[in-house]
Amino acid sequence: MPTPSRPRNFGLPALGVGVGLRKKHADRIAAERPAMPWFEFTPENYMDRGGRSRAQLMSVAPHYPMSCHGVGLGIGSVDPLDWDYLRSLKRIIRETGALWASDHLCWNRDGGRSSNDLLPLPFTGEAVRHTAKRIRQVREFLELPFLVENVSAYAILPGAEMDEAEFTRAVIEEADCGLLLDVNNCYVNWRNHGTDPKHFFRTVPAHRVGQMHMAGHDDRGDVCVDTHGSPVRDEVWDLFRDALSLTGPTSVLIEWDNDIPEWERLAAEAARAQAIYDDVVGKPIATAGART
Amino acid sequence: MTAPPRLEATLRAFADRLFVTGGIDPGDAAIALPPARLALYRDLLRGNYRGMLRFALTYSFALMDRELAAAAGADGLPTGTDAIVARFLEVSPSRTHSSREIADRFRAFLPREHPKLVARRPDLVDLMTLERAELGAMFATDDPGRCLDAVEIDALAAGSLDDLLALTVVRAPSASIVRTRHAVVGLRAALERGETPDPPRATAETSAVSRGRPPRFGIEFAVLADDAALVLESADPGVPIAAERLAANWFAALPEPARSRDDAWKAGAFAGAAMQALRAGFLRAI
Repeated sequence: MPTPSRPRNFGLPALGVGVGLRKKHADRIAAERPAMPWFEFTPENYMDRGGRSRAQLMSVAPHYPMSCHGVGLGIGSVDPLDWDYLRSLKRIIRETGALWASDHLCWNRDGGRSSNDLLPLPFTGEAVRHTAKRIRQVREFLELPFLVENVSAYAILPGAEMDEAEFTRAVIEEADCGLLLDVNNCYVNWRNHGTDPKHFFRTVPAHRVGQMHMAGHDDRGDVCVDTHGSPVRDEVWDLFRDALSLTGPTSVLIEWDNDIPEWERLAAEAARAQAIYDDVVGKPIATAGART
Repeated sequence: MTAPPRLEATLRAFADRLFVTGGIDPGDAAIALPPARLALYRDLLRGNYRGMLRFALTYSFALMDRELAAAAGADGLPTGTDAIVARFLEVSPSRTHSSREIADRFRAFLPREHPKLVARRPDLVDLMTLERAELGAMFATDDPGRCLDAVEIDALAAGSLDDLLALTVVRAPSASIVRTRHAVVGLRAALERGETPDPPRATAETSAVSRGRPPRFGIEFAVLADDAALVLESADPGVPIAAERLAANWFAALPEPARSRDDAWKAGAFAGAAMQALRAGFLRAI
């Protein structure tokens, strides 16, 4: 449960349910400014770029609250931090007025090789200290609230000294950062490793949860794969209620990045999440909607 | 900052198994992973790279698909591009998420690792060069100046050479001149239309690749005569220049026998090249 003396939601505005800004819908969003409390963008699609993609982002950003959710930082990697990347990230954050930034609690490159994937870290004290130190560097450099997201994993690396929940708690507390709680990833890891999502929810400090992700996955029977290419499954909606009951008001995002549906279908998925959100925690405290 | 030793060893071992570095899987002795899950990670990694490569080099991959299907494994060629992507990961993976870097690395990798495929389709690397220029035009940071709109272009076209020479223009840094040993602009267009491409033509080609006006920023390809290419190359990217100065630079750089041609030809050649470049966004107005 949240500690009363600490601000809920990592001190961030609780915006209710938004969706990811994707190329498919960007022109329409810019033209019609549909009712959507907020958008999240993927900075790697826009950093150091001009042309159409950047124009699309900049046509939307002034009209909605935005958050910046990276996929390329690889914060737990042992390769040196990529300061060129971070400078570009900071520029796009400033240009869009993003309210917070996030990336994943994972690693993605080694020896100059980039996997362009979100790879699991070993759950060790050494990894906690290494990753937390780098998160602090990034957070201080960006000068913005920074969250890390728990990732889906298909293997637990050997030598674990704690479970994923304890590892996550240790990192975010030592780094003094927030958590982007991906409810679908908790479910996927439950199926893949037997790690109980409710144990995860109750182990990580609820007041550090600054945002949630909801997404679809591919259930292949012997393994679940986090695909972001389908509707949220019923089992994950059930977990969403549990998570919200612990965190209270927050910002929730529907991630649908592959086989992206028409806007109406995506908005309906967000509306479903918003109805659950309203039922569990009440209307958002700081509903923003499109700025006029 | 010194890397923590155990973590570094763990991640290095995982990466070596994931990428199959150098074509060798160090096995469970390096890091024990459930085989099915390691296979899934490899599938995801190859899928990521396959997606990025097909985005960055769309038509080069379409051409490889056709050639490899036609070859059906003959002459030691792989049966599909998946094997090529897997080898790319073994020996030349990207350092970053950048599609431009991935395209550059793949363009260098392919002739080195698959010379028989390149010998079978010698225009393939040139096609990659054209697509790399396309990526550059698509993603380069915003250009100085502005694209003339259709009304302005029509007015210039209907006006006199003096009207054109009175403009100040800037060569878009996003645009490029591409020189290839094979004709690839038509090849790219045929592949885009889903047509069966003609056999390779060993005809040197000079083309301009540029970014059009907003909101679509469409990428334009134009095959250029040497004289026209020289007009565009007489301006430095990003540096404003009076069109009259550009014309003077071009005149000065013209080789023989074009240099000795009459003024009417020179005026027509310059105006034609400049107008085409203004339409395409290669040259922009200040």
